[in-house]
Amino acid sequence: MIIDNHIHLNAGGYDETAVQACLSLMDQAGIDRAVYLMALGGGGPDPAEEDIRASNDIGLELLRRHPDRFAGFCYLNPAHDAEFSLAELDRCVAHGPMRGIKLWIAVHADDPRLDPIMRRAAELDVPVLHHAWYKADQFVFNESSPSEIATLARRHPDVTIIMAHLSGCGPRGVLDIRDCPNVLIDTSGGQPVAGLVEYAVDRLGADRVVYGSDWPIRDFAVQRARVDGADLTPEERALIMGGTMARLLKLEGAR
Amino acid sequence: MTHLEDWSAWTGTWPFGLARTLSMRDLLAAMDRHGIARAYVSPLAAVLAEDPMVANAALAEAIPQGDRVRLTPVVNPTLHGWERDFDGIRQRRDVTAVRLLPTWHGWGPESPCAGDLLDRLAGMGCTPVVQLRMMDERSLPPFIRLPAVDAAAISSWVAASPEVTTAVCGAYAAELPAFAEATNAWLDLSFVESRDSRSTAREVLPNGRIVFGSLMPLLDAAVVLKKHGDLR
Repeated sequence: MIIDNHIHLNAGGYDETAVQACLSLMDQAGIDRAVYLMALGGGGPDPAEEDIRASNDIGLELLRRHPDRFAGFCYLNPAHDAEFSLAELDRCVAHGPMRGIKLWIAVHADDPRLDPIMRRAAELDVPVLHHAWYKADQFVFNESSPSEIATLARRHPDVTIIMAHLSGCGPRGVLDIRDCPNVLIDTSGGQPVAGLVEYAVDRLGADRVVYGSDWPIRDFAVQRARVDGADLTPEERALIMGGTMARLLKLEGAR
Repeated sequence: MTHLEDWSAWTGTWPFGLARTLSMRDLLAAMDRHGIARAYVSPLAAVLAEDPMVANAALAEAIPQGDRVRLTPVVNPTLHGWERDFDGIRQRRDVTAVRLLPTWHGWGPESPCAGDLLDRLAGMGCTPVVQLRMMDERSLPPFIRLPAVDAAAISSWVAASPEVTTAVCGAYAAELPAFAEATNAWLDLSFVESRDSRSTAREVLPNGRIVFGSLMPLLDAAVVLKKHGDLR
């Protein structure tokens, strides 16, 4: 099963036409299931509580209509009152169909305001996907570096963290998380830098690298080609393209 | 595009990131692997050097006989005497394309050296290749501060020489519309990506204006090829 762990839909309410277009492109690229993370454009880098609810409502409707093609993560802003975030986690994960948590750029990953969310992730046994990027400039709001992800991971070793954007994190980012066995990296985003997927697999192991596209910012087929074309064994490729995510999402039949 | 030509192939060493050093032998092997019939090849060392001619001369020595790999010297038109140096290269090897890197070499369409540059290169029998970018600017080291790519200005400059077919490599998807009216511009897809890259390119450019540029060894050529799909 090919699982894309990193897609978005646009804010503004659930749009079945847009979802059908997404499914068509998934079919063309041979993607069996995709993980919806958050709505693009919904509240910007520091979304309000209503933006968070609206983004998650889109995910819940998506999972209600297409439970076999999508999975969902609950989008949160750690700057909000923890009571709100924990209630949203209850709504979407504990009592809903979502299987993980998405954190973006509202606060840095090493901020203690993440702690209540991380503790609840451990209780629910769900992964947390966190945006990360190493940049020389053009930082966006409170964008996290891979080293901040590593700090978070050491503080919460019982939570699986998926650090997003291999190309953005680069070799330095891979090395930052190397000694944090609870951190995986996804292949989404950035240019198809030659050799980077192989570098991550060599340093982390194939079971700590997962395929993601960042669609619709990126292209399912093009991002998939980064893994398909990498110098990997069939077993390594199978883990990256869905084996590991099937286990994290607790999909039936996953080992 | 059954006869696949690569308009953005490079040899040598790139100091930023993971890109491995690509020798001429490596390049030829990669061309075989990806089904590339011909490559317009430039030296990576010429990007970072103010004077690219030393790197051009070294590449001229390494290029094999035949038509499969075409020497594509990098020209910095801000340098006094670049034409003399370029003539020296042309006397040693057949040259049918020239690569220009405005942002890396500190000039732009408004610079005096840009004036009739495209027409002059065409007059020498060379296709100008404008390389807009080499990598995601956000990942460049802090000591390198390049001016932002001004796609509209580049497009206007190219369009002002309508008889000169000019290849433009390294545009982002969001920059493609700026080139829609410059009908003498060919664009590569090395940096183009969107929700549906092929459709995005098709919406802006007819097939005849889309060329392949791998940006080997910085990017994975197989991934760039995927963007072309049935445009090939």
